[in-house]
Amino acid sequence: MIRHAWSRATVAMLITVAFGGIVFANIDVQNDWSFFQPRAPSRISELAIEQVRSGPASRLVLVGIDGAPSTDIARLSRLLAETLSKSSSFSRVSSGANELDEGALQILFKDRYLLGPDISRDEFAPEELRRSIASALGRLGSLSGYALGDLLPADPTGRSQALIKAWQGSSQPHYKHGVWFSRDETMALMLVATAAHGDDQLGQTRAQQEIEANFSGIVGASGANLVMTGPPVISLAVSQSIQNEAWWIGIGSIVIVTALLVVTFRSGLLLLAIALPTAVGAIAGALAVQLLFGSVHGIALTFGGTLAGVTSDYPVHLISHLRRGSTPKNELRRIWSPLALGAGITAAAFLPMTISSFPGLAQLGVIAAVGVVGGMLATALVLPWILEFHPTGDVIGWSHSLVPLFARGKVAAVAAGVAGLAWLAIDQASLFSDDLSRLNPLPQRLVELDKRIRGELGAPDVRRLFLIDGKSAEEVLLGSERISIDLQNLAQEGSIGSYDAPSRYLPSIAVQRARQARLPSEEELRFGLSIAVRDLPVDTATFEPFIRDIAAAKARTPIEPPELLPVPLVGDRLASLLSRRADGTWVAFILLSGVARPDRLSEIAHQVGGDSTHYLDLQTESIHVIASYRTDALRWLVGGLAVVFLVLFVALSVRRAVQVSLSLVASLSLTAAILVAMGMPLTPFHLMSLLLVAGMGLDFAVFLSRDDVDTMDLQQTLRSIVICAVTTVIPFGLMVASSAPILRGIGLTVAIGVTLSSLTALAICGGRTRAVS
Amino acid sequence: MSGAVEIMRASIFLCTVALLVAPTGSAQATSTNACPLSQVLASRAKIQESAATFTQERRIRYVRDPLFSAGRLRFVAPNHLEMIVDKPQAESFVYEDGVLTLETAEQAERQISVDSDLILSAMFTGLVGTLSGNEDELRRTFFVDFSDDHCQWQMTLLPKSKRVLEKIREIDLSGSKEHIEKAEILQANGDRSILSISEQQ
Repeated sequence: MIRHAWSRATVAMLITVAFGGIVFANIDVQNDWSFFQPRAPSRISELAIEQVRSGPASRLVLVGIDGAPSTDIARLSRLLAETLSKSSSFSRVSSGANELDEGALQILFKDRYLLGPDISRDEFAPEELRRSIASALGRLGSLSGYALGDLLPADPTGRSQALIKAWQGSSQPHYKHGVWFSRDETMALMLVATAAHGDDQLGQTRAQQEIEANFSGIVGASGANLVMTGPPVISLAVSQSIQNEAWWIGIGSIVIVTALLVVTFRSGLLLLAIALPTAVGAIAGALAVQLLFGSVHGIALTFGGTLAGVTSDYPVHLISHLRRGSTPKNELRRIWSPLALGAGITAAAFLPMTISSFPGLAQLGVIAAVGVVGGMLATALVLPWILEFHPTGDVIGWSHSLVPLFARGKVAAVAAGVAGLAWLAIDQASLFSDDLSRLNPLPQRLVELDKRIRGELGAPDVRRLFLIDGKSAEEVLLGSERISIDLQNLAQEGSIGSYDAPSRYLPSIAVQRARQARLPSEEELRFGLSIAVRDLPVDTATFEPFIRDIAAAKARTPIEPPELLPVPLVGDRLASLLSRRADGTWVAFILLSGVARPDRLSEIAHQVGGDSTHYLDLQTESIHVIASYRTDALRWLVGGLAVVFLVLFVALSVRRAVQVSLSLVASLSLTAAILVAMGMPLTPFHLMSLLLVAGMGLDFAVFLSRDDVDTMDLQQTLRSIVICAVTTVIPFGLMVASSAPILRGIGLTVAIGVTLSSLTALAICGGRTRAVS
Repeated sequence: MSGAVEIMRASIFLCTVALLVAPTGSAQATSTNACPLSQVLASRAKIQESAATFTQERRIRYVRDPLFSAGRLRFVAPNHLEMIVDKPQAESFVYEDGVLTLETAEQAERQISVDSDLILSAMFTGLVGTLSGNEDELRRTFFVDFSDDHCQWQMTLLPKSKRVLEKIREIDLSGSKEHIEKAEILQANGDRSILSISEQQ
């Protein structure tokens, strides 16, 4: 007989595993910010999210090489930069040495009068020409003037140097042996921008491994050491450590829960029978989301996994209520009403969420609703068939007599719920937290290193930037020029260290035309030169190349982005600050370094005005994004609860409906109040966990509030609730030990919530169940 | 007196023989007055640290008058060379282990262009190779042509690298015994620089 049961269970499980394998192999898992992104976000939050994901600052890896004599690490720094710049995984690699190669220099040199920083009004006046030629002759005699010999006839005013200076940036990193060094000269520094987005975990893993592999290829016996930091490195480290911990917690939970179930049921078959609907629920949920949305977000999937805590309750309820001498089918019929009601209401609670304007929330709703219904249906349809020949024993013990004891706490439970609500009402201010960055356990070592290298190199601030969007490249370049004037002032007054804007490299067409108008005519220039060289040891004829280049620059068509963007190195730098979006509009980034007074930045954004110049404080913006997400989640949570109450009052007697509702409200508000009182404000993740708690608490309350039960029933229900609660509280309780606040928060919410739910259900709903068989 | 002359003659003879036998200068020269390349370099290699002053005369093809600068040199074996220019503008170059760093008051001008690195790197490599007495180092970067007359020697360094050759035609070094007295750099564009070095004894 038992062999029948085993073969049926094995067949069912094999089919499930095969189906699950196919489904999970084919779903498209997303792991980015899109989970929190509304379908139709405001322009500014859309841009902010885009920045967080793929902005130039968020793709910047800060690299340091130390642990060897400075000449060794300087050599390694040059070598590493050389190798990495050949790889397509990186859009910019700088070690401080010769960032521009000869080809790039030639392009810049050719268009030196139109590109780059402004030309002073009197640069070509006779007296100014004389001054610059005389100073160049001075340098020509010195050592650093060796290359000037070829340059001077074409560029007596030193324009190419001004241009290169602009490319080197306004920040002044410390140099040693020709590469960037920390000021204490112990560490060579590099900037590496990855081609992969900052939040592209796979791409970042590959890129960062590539840096490490290249370094170990060249390090030899020097004993030098490579360190990396920056947003992509830190976020990868964090998500990897969370994933690692989640994996260990998962393994630990499976082991403990399996052991508990084995001890309780003493049957491998029953274990399989519990696993089956749980797996079916998870597979059905993931499949439904994939079919409806075309992809599944990692967070939704993880949450779907934790839903196992709810779906595994259905088989446990059924198995716990089996009796000797009756078939599973009969027993299912007996508990069908609370089982179906519990699952139906839980699913209904998630239904409103499926139409949320946040795809992330909608996915969550679908995965939960479908998962719960799938798990329940698998329990109802497959388990009776599997367990048909499984022998059951029943013992009437003493545990049912505990229930009336709990029921004495009815008033206390309701009072506790009211107290919880009161606490929440009083402590409203610290109720919610939308600053997810506070949830990230950033590795302090990497954060310190980031701060140090960023400070040394004057690398751009990750949090604050200006963004200009417009219909054309010209429009955003004009915006970049406008704001540059203000930023120049801010840099002078010390409110910011420096800034980087695309117009510094490529001026707008308007500015280029104005420059062309300001360049002297050939006659003017010849005349000016003849005066300038009068008492210098050179002739006007020496400067024929100069005269020729000025004439060419004057006649040239102004340079537009498509001409410059394909040029290696030059184009890469420009592309990180100026790009064409998929919808044909253009966007310019103004990056800031060493921001000392953020308040001045928002003032500037106001002054510059217009709808095209935005000041983005990514932290504030991400908080806005999360806050609107949370508000939406809360709205659907309340909506879901309304549906729950409605269904309860329709489907159940008034007494039961009131008891179940009270139990639910009491446990949820008490849980939330305890979390807040513990100094743990609620994030969207806590809210999701509360939904899970609600789903389980609902089952407990519905089962316990039944009228037509005998002692054995009561005992079975109690046993099943204890099993359900313990097997949920233990895995989530393990999460409390995690170092990641996000896991800790979810774990704590569910562990406290489920414990409280079972207690309030026992106290509020358990009183009436006194019937004795 | 005649004995001394005899000794000198003999040594010149020995020196000639040595050069004939081993033109690359690997011979066992014994006389203090004979100065094959190996001898010059070997005596140089014994010097751990030396200092000198220099004047530089630059002749630029389109500038009528020569341009002058002056400064100090300091060498620490095996491969550290500082060149500090005092006039007309203060600047300093530090060459160490194949890496050349320009340090001026305004750091932004630290790297003027790829070309200047090439020219200066070649010049410093030649100087350091000679000062440290490292013949292998010299021959790795240059074709070396050496001649001497009564220990007044001349050495011509021809860059092996094609890229360097596009900038520098040759570097001529001359001196007596283990001292470098003059370094002349002839650029491909016709500009030339003459460094006159007087070593502090």
